[in-house]
Amino acid sequence: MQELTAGRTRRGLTDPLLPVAALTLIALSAAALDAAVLCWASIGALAGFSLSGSV
Amino acid sequence: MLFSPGWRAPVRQDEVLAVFIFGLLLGGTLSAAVIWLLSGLSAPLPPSVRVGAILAVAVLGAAREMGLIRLPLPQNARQIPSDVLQAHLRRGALQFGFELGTGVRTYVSSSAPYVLALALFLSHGPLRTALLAGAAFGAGRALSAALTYLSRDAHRDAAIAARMPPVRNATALTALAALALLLLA
Repeated sequence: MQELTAGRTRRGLTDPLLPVAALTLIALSAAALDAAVLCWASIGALAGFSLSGSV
Repeated sequence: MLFSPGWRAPVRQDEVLAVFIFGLLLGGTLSAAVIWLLSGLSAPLPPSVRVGAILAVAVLGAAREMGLIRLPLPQNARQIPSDVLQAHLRRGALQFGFELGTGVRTYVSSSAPYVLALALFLSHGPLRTALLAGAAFGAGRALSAALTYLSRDAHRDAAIAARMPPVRNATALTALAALALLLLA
């Protein structure tokens, strides 16, 4: 039972939607604050992550 | 899958992951450097035209991801040969990561990398911005592999496949909104 819970927690923490939500927040905040370098870097990271696949 | 459970190779899996990530970062940075060099060609265009073109590309990318338009993407329709990894695992992981990181050596199924590349080309910004965006592209790909490794989930492929449509939609819309905020403000 404990193992099952740990597995669920691990799966939840590694869900692909979490990094997307975090990077989206960073990209939009950086754009609003005119932090161009951070904004471009966040868009770059999102673009790379959008190619997630079977590696 | 390179980073899924069931690893039996004589080299530690996290070591291969680290080398693979280094290759991704190198590849992304190299592609960004090439785009930055080429971006001088867009410099003569008036800033308003360049901004308009960047936002038009981002709109097209978002529309494509949401299925509103059909737009075939130019891509190198090949898989990186698996024998890259068989001869020498560490060197192979570095090469595999580098080729994936460049974004031009295999399939590119999402619109966002094209939006990023064209936006960097048209914006002709500072070199460090382009290099960081390229390295971040590699880091984004690396994050996916690292999460697969950390998840220790034998069914990770199915989990990723189920999540990819919302991931790609959110990415395309974020790129559009962030670029509009940054360039029009």
